[in-house]
Amino acid sequence: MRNRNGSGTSLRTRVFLVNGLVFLIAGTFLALTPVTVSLPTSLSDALVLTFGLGGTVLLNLLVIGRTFAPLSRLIEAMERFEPLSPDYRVPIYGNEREIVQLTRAFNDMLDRIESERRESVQRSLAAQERERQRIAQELHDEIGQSLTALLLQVEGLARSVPDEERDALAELSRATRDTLDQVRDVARRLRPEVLDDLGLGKAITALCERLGAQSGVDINCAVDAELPQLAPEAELVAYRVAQEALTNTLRHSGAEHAALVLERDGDDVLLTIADDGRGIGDDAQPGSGIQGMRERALLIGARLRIDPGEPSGTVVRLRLDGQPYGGRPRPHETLGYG
Amino acid sequence: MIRLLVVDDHAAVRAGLFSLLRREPGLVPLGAVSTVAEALREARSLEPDVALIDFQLPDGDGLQLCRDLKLLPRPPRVVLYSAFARPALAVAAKLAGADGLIDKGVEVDSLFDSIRAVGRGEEVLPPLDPEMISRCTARLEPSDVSIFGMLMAGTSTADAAGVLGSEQREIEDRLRAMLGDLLAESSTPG
Ligand SMILES: Nc1ncnc2c1ncn2[C@@H]1O[C@H](COP(=O)(O)OP(=O)(O)OP(=O)(O)O)[C@@H](O)[C@H]1O
Ligand SMILES: [Mg+2]
Repeated sequence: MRNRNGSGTSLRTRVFLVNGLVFLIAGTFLALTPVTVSLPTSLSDALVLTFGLGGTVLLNLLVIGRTFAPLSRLIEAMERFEPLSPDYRVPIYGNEREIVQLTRAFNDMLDRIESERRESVQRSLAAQERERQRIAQELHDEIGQSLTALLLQVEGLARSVPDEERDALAELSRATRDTLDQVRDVARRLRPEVLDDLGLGKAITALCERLGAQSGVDINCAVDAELPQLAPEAELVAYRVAQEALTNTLRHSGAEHAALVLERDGDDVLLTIADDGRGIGDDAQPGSGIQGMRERALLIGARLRIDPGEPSGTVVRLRLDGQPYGGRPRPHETLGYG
Repeated sequence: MIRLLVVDDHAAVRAGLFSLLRREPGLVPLGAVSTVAEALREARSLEPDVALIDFQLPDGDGLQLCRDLKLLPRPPRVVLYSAFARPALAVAAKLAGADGLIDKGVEVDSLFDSIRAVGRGEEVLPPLDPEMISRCTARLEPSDVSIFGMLMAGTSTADAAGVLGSEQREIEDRLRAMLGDLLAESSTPG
């Protein structure tokens, strides 16, 4: 338990001292100068009294104002806090006991709110991943199996009918196979198994190839061969960010070219997705995509930036801490997996 | 002539496959069953050349069934016919000693070609990516890694037991545990 009290004098003592000092000065003034007040009060006495008291009050105000200055600096600093850079903590100004206590209490409260927020984001993202996995599994096991059965039966039929009718059945079998491919593709998008088995680099390359082929947009994908080892949750965040950024590019930007770079930068891994489209306009309606990227990044302590591109388009950058081999992510930085 | 046993829990897949195989010259489906238990019983009595098995079964999975079949006095060759999408299934299939791994989305003709190849004694497994093998190895208990290496190189569990001076039963148990570890998800949300 750290010392929760400031080491300096308390504000109360200061105010007390200041007031005492002012009264002392006023008293001394009264005692040592020929100023007197007699009864009945004459006009000049009233004037002396008014100025004397007024002066005392003004002096008091001035000195007390100075005493409370750290309080307004503290309020300013508190107002500077914003949820998107939650690591900000208010510096301790001055050494007045109440100010130090107040600052610490405020920072402690930020800590509690922040850990509560992290936990709830963590819970909701984990629930989202679980739900995606369940849907992917069902698509795969239920619809996928039924389509396989259908396909086998159509193929069986095609082999038992006269040649003239075979073409129509071949067409039907092709259509069924396409549907089966689509179902599997949706399942893959929901739950990137390749990520677990082949690693981030290969999973992201496959993602670019698939999205490029589907959309006709030229996606240039460059992945460093040697990437620092990342924690599984960091890999999942990078994959989801790449997926969302590329999807946004294809859906909103109207770009002809897009590029994805996954590279090593010292111990870090840098993911950049850029397009040459129309850019995110001021009138863009915020959806859950960009919000989700930010939340995921925040959760594992990665830094996400979304900027306009040069000369046009959008650039999304994600910087992830590589972990030394065998290292574990700090507990508060994990996504709640495992 | 290749005599086959079909194992799939989806009735329509089973029926479709059975009737397709029956029409195909040179392939003779002996039976079609839906569970691990039935498959073992039929395999004992019918002694098929090739067992064509699905990955997901109601009372177990295709890999465990593959091990059970391989321990029969006259083991069939085993082809996993699966819609299971994990790339690591290729590693698990190799480890389990399966002779073939065929995706449920392939053309029927290429399924037949693969069955014939396996019937001839060839191995029809997808190529294994070295990076995938190393990621898979990382999921195993460290003490299992050497057994994993031997089995992946094609050593039988009996020979591995001989080399390591332990019981075959023990190696089989380790093998089955490894099959579970390989397909466990490293980033399963929880
Ligand atoms: N690469 C881009 N180019 C141009 N505009 C973009 C780009 N990315 C995002 N935007 C704009 O920003 C808005 C918000 O994006 P966001 O991903 O948050 O939501 P969304 O894509 O509309 O919906 P979803 O929740 O499905 O992702 C978009 O509606 C779009 O107008
Ligand atoms: Mg979006």
